[in-house]
Amino acid sequence: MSKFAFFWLCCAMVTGALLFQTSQHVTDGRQRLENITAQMRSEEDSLRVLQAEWSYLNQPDRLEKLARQYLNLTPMKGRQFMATADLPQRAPEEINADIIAAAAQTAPAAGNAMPLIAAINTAAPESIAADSAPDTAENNANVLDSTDSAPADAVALSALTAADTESAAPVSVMIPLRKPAHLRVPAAYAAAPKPAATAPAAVTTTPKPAAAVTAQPVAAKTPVTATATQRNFGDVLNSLGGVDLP
Amino acid sequence: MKRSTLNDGSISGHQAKLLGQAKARLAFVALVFVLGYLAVGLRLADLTLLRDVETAAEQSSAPVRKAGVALRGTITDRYGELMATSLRMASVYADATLVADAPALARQLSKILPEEKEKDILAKLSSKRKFVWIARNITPRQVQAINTLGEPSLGFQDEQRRIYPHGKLTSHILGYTDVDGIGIAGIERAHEKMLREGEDDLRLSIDLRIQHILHRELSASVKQFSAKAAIGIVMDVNNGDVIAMVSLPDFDPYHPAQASDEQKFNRATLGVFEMGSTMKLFPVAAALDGGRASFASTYDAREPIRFGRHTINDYHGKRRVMTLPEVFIHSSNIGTAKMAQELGEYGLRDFYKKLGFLERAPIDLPERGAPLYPRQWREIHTLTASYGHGIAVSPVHLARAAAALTNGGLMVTPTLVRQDGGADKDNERVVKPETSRRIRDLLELVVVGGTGSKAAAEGYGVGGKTGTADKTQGRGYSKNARLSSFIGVFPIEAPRYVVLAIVDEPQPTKETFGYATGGWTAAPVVGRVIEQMAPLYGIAPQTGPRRDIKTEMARYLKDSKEGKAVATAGTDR
Repeated sequence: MSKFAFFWLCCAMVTGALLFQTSQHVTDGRQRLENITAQMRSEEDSLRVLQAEWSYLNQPDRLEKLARQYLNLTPMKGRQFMATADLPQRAPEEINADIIAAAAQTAPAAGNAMPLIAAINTAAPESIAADSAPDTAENNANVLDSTDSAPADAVALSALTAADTESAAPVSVMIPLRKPAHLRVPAAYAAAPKPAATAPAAVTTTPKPAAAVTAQPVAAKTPVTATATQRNFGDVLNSLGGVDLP
Repeated sequence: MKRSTLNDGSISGHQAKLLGQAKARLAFVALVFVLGYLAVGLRLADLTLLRDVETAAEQSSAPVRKAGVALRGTITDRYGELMATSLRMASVYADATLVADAPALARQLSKILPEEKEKDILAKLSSKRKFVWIARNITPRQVQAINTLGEPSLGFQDEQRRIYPHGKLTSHILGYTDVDGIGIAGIERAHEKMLREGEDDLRLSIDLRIQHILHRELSASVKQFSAKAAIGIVMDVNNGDVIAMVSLPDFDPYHPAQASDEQKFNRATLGVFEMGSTMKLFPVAAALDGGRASFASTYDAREPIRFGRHTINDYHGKRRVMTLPEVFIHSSNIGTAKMAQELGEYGLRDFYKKLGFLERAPIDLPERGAPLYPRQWREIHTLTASYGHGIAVSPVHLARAAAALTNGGLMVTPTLVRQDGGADKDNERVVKPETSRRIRDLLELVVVGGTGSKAAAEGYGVGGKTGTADKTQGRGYSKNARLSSFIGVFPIEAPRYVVLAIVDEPQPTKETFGYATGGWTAAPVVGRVIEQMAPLYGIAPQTGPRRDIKTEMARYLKDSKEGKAVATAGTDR
């Protein structure tokens, strides 16, 4: 009988130990869960605060003021667009040669996911500026940044569009129809990632609330890009306004 | 005790029997306990050794998460830009009986809480009360600063606070909540149930960028013309999405209690107005749609119409026989009244009914104004209602009806909640597609060569109609108080948006040569809004030569006078 009692005592002790361990485990787990829940809640709360703050900082009124103050931008006007048909024409094979040549050099150098697009952008200023600007590396690499070394055509064009005068002649008149002196794209220029990134970025990657405004100087050069590459007018438009359209 | 002692000696038969019974009972109880422990043991083994830990956690986690108080749902614009959210905010209170050094604590607190005066805080801390609020809804940064004080007499209570990051810009659309966070106006009230549950974002049809442009242009117009109020609506003509809606003056949604009734009044949906000539669109459409008139129909506007004690006269006063397009672009009251007369006794009323003018506009806001119109419809009502007097509708009514007439003839339901997909094909048809096309021609004419020329946006085809209504004053009409309006549609070739602007009681200025009509006050607002809106929506400006609607129309009218078969000339697209 005492053996029997001993057996049960052992059973009870083992069971008790197990029970204790389990209850500790549960308590720990519950504690952890509570911590995580509290942490989640606080993360969610701070997420909301940050979202509210972000939205507050994105008040269109505020962005407009900042843009006026720092960017020298104004809303785009209807007259700043032009149809592809109004642009001076180049023989298609010349353009293609430009693009292909640029693509061949840009793709491996810049490691761009879309070498052709990059090539289009690199090819663009070169083909326009071919005559007026000597093809030194600095000149070509900084078409957008430098004002003194920028091609004469681009300057004339930007002055015209930025002047915003009623009497402004159609933009196309100001672009002389030229044959490029040669089709070679200087290696330094093709490799420089800057123009490829800046030229379209100023127009296409404008964040949503600021999309109302586009750079005047840049807008002035946008048609240049369009000219040289014969990009579809619709594409340009979509890239401007279609940032977040459904 | 040992069995041997129990069995000892003097136990009689009866006692032995009782003893046996007791043993049996003990054995039974022991069995029950053994079974019980066995069950517990098995269950324990099941829970600890056999059961998958994760499923167990999953089962228990749900109720624990629910325990936190849900924040009220957020409201965003159509592209996800935040318009309203709720933040958990702390309010700080004090147990004044525990405060040791009240002046020092008050000084520290007033540094952290600049909104509260040191004097007030000191008064509260010295009040000896067990519970006194120091400040409500303080920022997390302030909470942290107070916590670092390490003052045992202070405590925090969690509360939630509604935040409107865009402030006034969206005040009439969103409405506001009461102190308990329950919506009592605007979207906050209309979608109270969904917002309280707080599970999903409520995505509105509003585009904050356009809302801002409209707000800015209307504010400028109010300032320029020292106007009393202004209203603006931008609506998608195809599905009735309200892209922007502004009612000025507006209010600060954080302090609705401080706003006057004038400020809180949503004129765009709750206000009803006699719209004046912008309403001429509708009798003209009814006449064209019913086949009672064509562009070649003529109306004699040489003499004012006398009807009982009423005289109907023209504002612009051409005093001649005019064709239908002329009646429209010169906004002849006489001509339009005659046109409406030809629709029959209830013709115009029935058409207005079809356009929803005789009932509240079905928009998802609690603030919806009931139109005013004569219950007993007489002929004089047909005459006056044709040029927008004697019937008062809300601006959203007007925008909706204009959308229906220009989108090809299908009625739309205005909504503030973004819908996916385009036009609802089951919508009721109000006019034929052909009529819709003709209406667009007329609207374009008004902007190209009529009263609405100031609404022209360079590069974009705009059509529209001006209106200038004398406001009622007492029993008659005022000479100096008017409601100037313009309803614009663009691109006029294939409309996508209708833009309505109304300026209430504009005062003439020198720049407008003493005019305060719709063409001078409201039309420029619409033109500027369209000019800025079109590039954002990727609407291509027309860069080539535009069709010349004036010449086309003139040729059409000349041809039809000569009796040539020209059923579609001038309207061909």
